[in-house]
Amino acid sequence: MVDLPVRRKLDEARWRLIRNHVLHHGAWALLAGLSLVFALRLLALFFPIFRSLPVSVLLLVVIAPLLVAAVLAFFRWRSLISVAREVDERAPTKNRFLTVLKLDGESPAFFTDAVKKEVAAFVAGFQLKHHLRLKNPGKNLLWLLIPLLALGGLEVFRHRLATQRVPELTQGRQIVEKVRLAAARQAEKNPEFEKVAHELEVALDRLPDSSEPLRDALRALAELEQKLSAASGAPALSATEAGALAEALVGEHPQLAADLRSGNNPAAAEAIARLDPQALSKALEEAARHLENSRLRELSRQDGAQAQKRLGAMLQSSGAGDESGRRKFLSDLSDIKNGTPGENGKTPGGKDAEADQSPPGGEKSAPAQAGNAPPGGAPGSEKDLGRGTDLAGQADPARDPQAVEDFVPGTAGEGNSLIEIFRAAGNDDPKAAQAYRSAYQSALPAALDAVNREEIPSGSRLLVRRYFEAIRPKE
Amino acid sequence: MMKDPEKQAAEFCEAFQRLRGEMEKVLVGQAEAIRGVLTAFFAEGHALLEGAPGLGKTALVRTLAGAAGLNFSRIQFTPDLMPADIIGTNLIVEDEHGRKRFQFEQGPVFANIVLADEINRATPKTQSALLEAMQERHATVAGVQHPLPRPFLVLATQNPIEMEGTYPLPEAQLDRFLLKLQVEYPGAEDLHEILQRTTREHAPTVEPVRLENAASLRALVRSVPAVREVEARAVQLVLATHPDRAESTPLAKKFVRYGASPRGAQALMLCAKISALLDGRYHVAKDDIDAWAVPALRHRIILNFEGEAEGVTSEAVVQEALAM
Repeated sequence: MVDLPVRRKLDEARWRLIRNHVLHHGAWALLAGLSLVFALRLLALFFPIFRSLPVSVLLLVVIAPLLVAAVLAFFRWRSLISVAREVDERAPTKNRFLTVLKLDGESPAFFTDAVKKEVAAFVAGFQLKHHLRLKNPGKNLLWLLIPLLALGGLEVFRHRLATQRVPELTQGRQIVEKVRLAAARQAEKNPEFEKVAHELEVALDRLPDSSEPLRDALRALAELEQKLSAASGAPALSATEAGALAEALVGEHPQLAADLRSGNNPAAAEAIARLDPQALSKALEEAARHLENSRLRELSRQDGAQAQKRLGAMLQSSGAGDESGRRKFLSDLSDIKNGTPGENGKTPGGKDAEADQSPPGGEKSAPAQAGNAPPGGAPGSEKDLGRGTDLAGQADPARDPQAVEDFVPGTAGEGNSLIEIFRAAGNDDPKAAQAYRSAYQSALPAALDAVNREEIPSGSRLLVRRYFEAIRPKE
Repeated sequence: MMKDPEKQAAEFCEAFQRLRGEMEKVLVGQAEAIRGVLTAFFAEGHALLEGAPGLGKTALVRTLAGAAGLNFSRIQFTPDLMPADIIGTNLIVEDEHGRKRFQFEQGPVFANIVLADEINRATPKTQSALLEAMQERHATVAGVQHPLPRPFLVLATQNPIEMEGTYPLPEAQLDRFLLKLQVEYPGAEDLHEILQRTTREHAPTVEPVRLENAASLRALVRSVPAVREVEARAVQLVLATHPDRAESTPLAKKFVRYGASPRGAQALMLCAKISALLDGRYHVAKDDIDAWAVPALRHRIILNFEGEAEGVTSEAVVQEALAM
């Protein structure tokens, strides 16, 4: 049994050692934590996944190592033997503390009392504070300043970037906010859109952290559009398809043709159910031939009753309540993205649509102006039609110099659209070139897919291919 | 029977200081050697004194014997010295009835303190005659064991300069010496003091210190406790001198042929216990062990050829072990 004065002295030594341990290792732990925070903030500049790290996580990164240091300190000095060993090592105690602790078990009792007495007398005049003093950190303190300065510099850099992004951010916010309001309006009729509105709120919250807010806003809207389109039920009959079918039926069934043209889909569906299957098949074949539409051709080849049933479902799908709401929303979304007035009557930039027909980025040759322009935008220049020189400045070898230029009118399709804004597209600005290449790579598959699906008349397919070939970015 | 360790420790310190005081009356400036010889005396171990001629090695031993009031004998080792000249021999004697019988005539080894002067001048055969006496503390002649008086202490001297006609001590015998002490050349002040004391009419004399309880004081030394972690220091130092051990020092790995024996660790602990008592403590500290590392281990380390050729000393090996 250790005497009380010795025990007290060892307890005092234990707390001093724990304090020193925590402060010493805690400083290094803090250094590690701050460095990690710096690394995370740096990664956030390049990887969006790190932008959404909450402050609590960053605090945890700093605090957790400190806690670990404290726990390790308590664990390290939990036994009096280890404390005595350390004190004997660092102070001129002549191994008194270790001896007095271990004497009972190891040595004969002859000297035990004498040793205890002698150690107690020694302890009375022994000053621990002189020997277990906290080391002066000195130059090591500078290590802590490194991550702090780096973090400060990074935050200044981020602030400057944010300042530069303000116009883009405002624009992106306005677009998303408009779509969110449209979703909120739809949510009054269809609860499904509450989730959509919430997703848009989240996207709005994330925009300030984005390095390219306008692009991210448009990307979020494109994703939403794609998701909603995918969620639609049976594929609806498009207006073009309905028109072609009406043209084929107008001779024998004028009322049905009128219903198809006017969009009275329920009545048209009922009439088709009563129609002679052979007549329907013939009409479908004619419409398919006229449009070169594979879907109608497929329907025409099916069994008459089955074709009737499927065509009816397609017409019903076009007129369904939820579906019409979704289509209405998608239409609004498309208008807002494209900068056409839609319900809001405003462009994404906030100006009147009639007063400013330019796209959000302000380029001259971008999308839809009058509603009859092709999805790629109105033909504002040679390049838009795939004529003249390509981006590399080389003449198009396939173009006949004697050929007569023709304007191909088009209508805005029902599929996805993509709008990208580049600050200096076509210049040598690497950032713009990178963005342009990215936009091209995402638009090209959609265009080729449309060509392959035969939704584009055969005469225009080559034109589409040549157009995309002409606007191919430089390697 | 030991009852009061504190009182006995005080008696031990007093006896040690009185002996040292008496010796310092005669000897000047050999504090470390005196301390070493007295430590060997209380540990009942043997000491090998090494130093140039004229430094007072013989005087040191003679003074100790005089101060302790013990029997003293001096053997001057020469190449023609025979073992019987040291141990003694059986002589044929005739009693009053005219009958003849063998009678053992004790040699000079039968004394409390034996001075083996210039021990390296005798042949190995004669040197080995001391082995049994030093370790077993008895001498065997014609199959009869003759116990030596207690305490029994061999204090040998050797001269490191004159190597002509000398026989280095065998390792087995070196290992039996508790300590190997270097007798250093005195400084200027000490030389003045030597002249003052030895060139006047009245040379200083030593008063014998009566040590009635010397045996119990020696027993007291062995009772001083040392916890295992402190003992571990002695073990570590000894193992550090072994070239084939993981604990050995780089110098030992390269230049040592054989490291210190377990007797080295025993010597360290015994000397450390005496130091602890003299320091007023009743337990051994690592510092006590470190203080005796060089004199207790240096003669137990055998260097290899490379070590000898490079001029490495066993002291350097021990110092490196201490720094670990």
